[in-house]
Amino acid sequence: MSRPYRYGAGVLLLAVTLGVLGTTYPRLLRAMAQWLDVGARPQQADYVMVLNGGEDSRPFAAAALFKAGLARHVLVAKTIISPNAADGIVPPYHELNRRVLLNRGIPATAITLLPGAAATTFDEARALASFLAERPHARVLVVTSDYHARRSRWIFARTLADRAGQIELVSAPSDDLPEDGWWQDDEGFVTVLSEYLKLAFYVVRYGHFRYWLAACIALVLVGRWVQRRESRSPAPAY
Amino acid sequence: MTDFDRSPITANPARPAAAGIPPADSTPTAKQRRRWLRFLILLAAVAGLWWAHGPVLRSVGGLLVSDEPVGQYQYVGLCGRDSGPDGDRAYDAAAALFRQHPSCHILVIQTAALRLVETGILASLATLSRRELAARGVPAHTLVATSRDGGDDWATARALRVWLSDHPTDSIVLLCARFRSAYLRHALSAVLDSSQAARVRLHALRDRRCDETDWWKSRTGYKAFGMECLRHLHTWCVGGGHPMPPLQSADDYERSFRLTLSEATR
Repeated sequence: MSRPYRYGAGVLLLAVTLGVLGTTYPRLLRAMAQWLDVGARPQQADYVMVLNGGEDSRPFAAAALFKAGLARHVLVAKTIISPNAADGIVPPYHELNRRVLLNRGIPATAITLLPGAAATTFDEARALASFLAERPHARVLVVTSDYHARRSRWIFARTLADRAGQIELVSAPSDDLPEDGWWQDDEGFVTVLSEYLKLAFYVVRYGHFRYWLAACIALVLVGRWVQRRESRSPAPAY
Repeated sequence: MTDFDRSPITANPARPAAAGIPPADSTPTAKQRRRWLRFLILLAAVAGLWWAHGPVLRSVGGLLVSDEPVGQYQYVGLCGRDSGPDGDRAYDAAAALFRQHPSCHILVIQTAALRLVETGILASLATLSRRELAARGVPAHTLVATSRDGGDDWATARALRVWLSDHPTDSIVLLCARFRSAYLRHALSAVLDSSQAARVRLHALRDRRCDETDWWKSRTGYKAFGMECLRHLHTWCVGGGHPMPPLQSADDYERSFRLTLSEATR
């Protein structure tokens, strides 16, 4: 293909891509948020675990699961104390969760605080792993916000390894993430994009990303070497 | 005879003319020298960036901060959601500002209808502020409260627009989180007219865990920095001030969740 044709094809392809994106972007953006929500249909379990954060939605969803008879106990991992909690201005996150559960009619005897000082979802997964070590047949519904479900599933799968089959992620609808038009609101926008960034960070930091990266770099280097070799070989004489 | 004439590559008669490369550049030594030079420049740039990363990151962090001189004020403003007021040690700062001007009032801008407040699990921001400020020597009668229609900075700006119209001669020092301050200033400038915006001064509170001088050294720091960058990106791409739909009550939330459960299990 000659150079003007190649440029023309490139411009046409770009225009078509932009046109498709322009007309379908609401659907794409909706799909982007939906991709994060991997919450499953809850099945009968022994425990329901509330992940800390999202106190105005997650414990309410956990209470609903308990009241629907899908679990007999609620687990909450103890968290580190935030500065505001240290100053006594607000209770720590796990205490807030416990208070919501009590407020929604869950008996105190059905709530178990997992020991530790969780600062991240990884810490909560570790707390659950040690809890499940003594209960190899227990099934747990893990409740988290819809946007946080994919990352949580990834974290729990890595932390629990062969025991990951004992848990099931249930997503609680978040108020900050309206189904339609999350990108219009700054909280929704920050929530979704930061979740993608965090996912990328987790894959790089904790996943097999470094092997993929090494393979890509090796491929690029081999490509460069082949290219240089070809450019050095004498041109055929006609 | 020049170096170029002796070059083994130019001994091939097909090459320079066909490739259209200036002959002097195609000598391996010149190419190698250029490549080395490029590599050294890149290395110097990386080393320079590494050496100066502190000042660079400090400057970038500083772009998110809008800390303004407080001047004369009649009110000190506090806003926040259910995790307390915005800004670290906001009550200490409010009490300190009150002590500087004992005739001033404290304005609490609270979010209406928060689920945790509605259920009585948490005290409202006004109640919490009254308790905490009283413990710091600020009398309860100096505290006045107003409501905003959402939990974001645009809702704060809309609430302040109404309040400033009702108080045409008063100025307010609004306390806020340090990395949030530039964004809040942007929202205020967009929602308020210039004379109203000039009557609001932002006091960007330093967080005890990190600020613009060391945000890259801690998880809290780079999370806060990243979130605020995304917020600015949102304003740049979409604009701001889109009101959120009202929150469901606790009972409605639980009911709708149970409904989705029964639909899912059907």
